Amino acid sequence: MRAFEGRYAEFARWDTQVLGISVDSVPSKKAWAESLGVKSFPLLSDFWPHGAVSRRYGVLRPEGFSERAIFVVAKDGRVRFSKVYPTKESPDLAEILGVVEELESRRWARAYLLTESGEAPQQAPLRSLGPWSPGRRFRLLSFGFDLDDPGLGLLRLGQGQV
Amino acid sequence: MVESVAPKIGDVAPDFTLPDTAGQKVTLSDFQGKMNVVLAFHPLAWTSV
Repeated sequence: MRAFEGRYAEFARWDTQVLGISVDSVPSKKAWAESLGVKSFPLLSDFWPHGAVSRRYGVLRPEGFSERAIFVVAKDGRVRFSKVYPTKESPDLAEILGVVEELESRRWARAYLLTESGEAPQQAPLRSLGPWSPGRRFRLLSFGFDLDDPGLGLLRLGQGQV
Repeated sequence: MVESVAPKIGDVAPDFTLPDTAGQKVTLSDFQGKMNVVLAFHPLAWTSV
């Protein structure tokens, strides 16, 4: 957790909240957080019901405490990265930062590349459809976009212009 | 008790509410649409296992 504290600004930069979770009780975690100097993000107690959240995430060990594990949940509420580490090993924070940076960089592009059945934006070029927001979907009419740079051009459109 | 299978990539992350060190409740779904979240599970405070 100290490693996360030290690099917290880098997570904040990518709109990312860190939550530390273990089965320890609130008083225990509070004292531990103070001893480590962890203050930038919440440390949560999965204490009662014992290990219920750890269990739900498939990381409760038979000994009764959780694995050392990371899950990255994107803004759409879905898991985009998960990894379990040997308990004595520290997670590679550069790898996790890479995941959230990529989530933020691709967020616009993904909206336009999803295919869904439903109402098609009739006759309207993508650039006039207004801002993208979570949950909004468009149907692809074809793969040959009428943009100057299909594919890569679409990425630029999402990031710069709406 | 039955152990759960870990959520897979692309699954909706199971929602939960847990207390923080100030006793305040923190709910995962409150961050949806606002922040990405890193869930950092660790074994035990105070000791290395």
